[in-house]
Amino acid sequence: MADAFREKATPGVVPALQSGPSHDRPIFDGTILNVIDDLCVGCSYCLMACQDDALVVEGLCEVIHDNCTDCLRCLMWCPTGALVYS
Amino acid sequence: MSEKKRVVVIGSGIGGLTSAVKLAHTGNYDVQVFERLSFAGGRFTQHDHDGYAVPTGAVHMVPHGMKGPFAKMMLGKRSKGGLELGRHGVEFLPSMKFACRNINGVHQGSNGPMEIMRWFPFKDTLNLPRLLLARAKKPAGPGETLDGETWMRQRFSDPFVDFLDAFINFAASVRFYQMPASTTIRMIQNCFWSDRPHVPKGGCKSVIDALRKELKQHKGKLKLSHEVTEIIPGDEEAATKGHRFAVGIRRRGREDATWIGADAIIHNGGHPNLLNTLSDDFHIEHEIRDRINKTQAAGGIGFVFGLDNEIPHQDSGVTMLPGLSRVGGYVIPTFSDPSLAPKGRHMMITHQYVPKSDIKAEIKRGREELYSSLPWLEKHGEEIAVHSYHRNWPCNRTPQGAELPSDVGIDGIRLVGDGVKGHGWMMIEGVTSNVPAALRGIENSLRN
Repeated sequence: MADAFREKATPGVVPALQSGPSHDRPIFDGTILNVIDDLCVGCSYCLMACQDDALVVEGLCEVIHDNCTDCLRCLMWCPTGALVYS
Repeated sequence: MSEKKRVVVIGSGIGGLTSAVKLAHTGNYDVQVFERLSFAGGRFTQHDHDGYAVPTGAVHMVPHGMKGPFAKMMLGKRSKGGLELGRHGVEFLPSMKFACRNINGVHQGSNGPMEIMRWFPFKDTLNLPRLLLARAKKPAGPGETLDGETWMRQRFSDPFVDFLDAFINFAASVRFYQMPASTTIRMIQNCFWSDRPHVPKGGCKSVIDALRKELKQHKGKLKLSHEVTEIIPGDEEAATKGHRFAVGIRRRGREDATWIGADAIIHNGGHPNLLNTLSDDFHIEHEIRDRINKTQAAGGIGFVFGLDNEIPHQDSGVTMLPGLSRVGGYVIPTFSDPSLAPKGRHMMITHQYVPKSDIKAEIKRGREELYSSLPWLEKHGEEIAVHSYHRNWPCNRTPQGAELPSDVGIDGIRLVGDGVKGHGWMMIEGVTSNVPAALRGIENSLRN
């Protein structure tokens, strides 16, 4: 099909889905919730999962650490694995 | 009797679930669906947010209404290839208008395709047969370089092209200049012959829930929070001997994967993710690999607003905002189904395309455009969420008009979903229109 139109949509390489134990399970000794900006797509699902107002999504997700209660709800909802404990 | 062949469906989006249910209906296969996330439905479901049913990508719309492939698939009779989801309570409610537009602060609505033509110079109505009868049943082929913008501007007046451009922006997240002419023509033809948009009763999630119930009733399995790590030939692992593929499945939060045998795989996760999980034992033509690597996904940004009851116009049709540089339009599905928002409130969903990779700037720009073209929004609306869809969570995994093949050259693997839409079908209509073809491929390969 029309190859000329293939590269015309939203620019930015599509990165591979990253996953691994570190994206699912927090290692609690001193690690805090962080966002890997390269993976975040700003879908704001985490914002809907969060019940403590600990996340702000405006383009990309940001964590308000003072409000975070480590409930891990957002980790389960993040579609790309951008939320990690590190 | 021999054991049933196993079909593994990767991803429980609308394409994956539809194919799974269709296969489960035959009763010949052991169907298992695996989903990475903790919820099913992908971009066609919703989350509850203070009483608002905030969609995850879809806009609570069945774009072609009861005449489109989606409604025919979901509500149609089993004997005609449908799924008969009506008995699980799936219902599509018509939106109040076929289409609307908001230009210079004036809201206009139409009840049918021909009524739209009254808004434009008479020349466009006379020229309309050239669009509706143009030959575009099939894509024009790899050599096509003519884009939709050029084709349309040569034949129609600017207000008409701007209106349709805004609509395509809203629906497909690309604009005319990013689409081949043949796709543009076919999409508009499909819209003209179609029904008005409908809203699924209870939101998109009601369709997903019905599909899940139906799958369960027919002994299919859906596992959430299970992620596919790798696909290798079945004979490589002792546990999966005799199967064509061995699929590595890892439960979220666990370290190690278990191998599950599969005789066929339906992949609902887009081409790049399929290539990532396939081991080197499978040969994919260099040409196809190259095309996949070159393909940009179509991103998008959607604002979700909560509105009060006093907004100036009260209809739920898709409203186009022609002439804006980013925003395509908006829809207020709560006029059709009030249950999608708290009592006395409404929910408005906007959509815009993303031509540049600076998402923050694009969001800012979209917001400015919305507030300046809809003066009442400031007073009556509150922003609930800003969704942005790009990179690995795009609006369309391949842009409309540059779809990749469902068959990447491996016997027994087919792709479904928004990367392999049917020619000229938009949104979920495109996803469902290509499911039967993918399933035919799977069934043929299992028969041999």
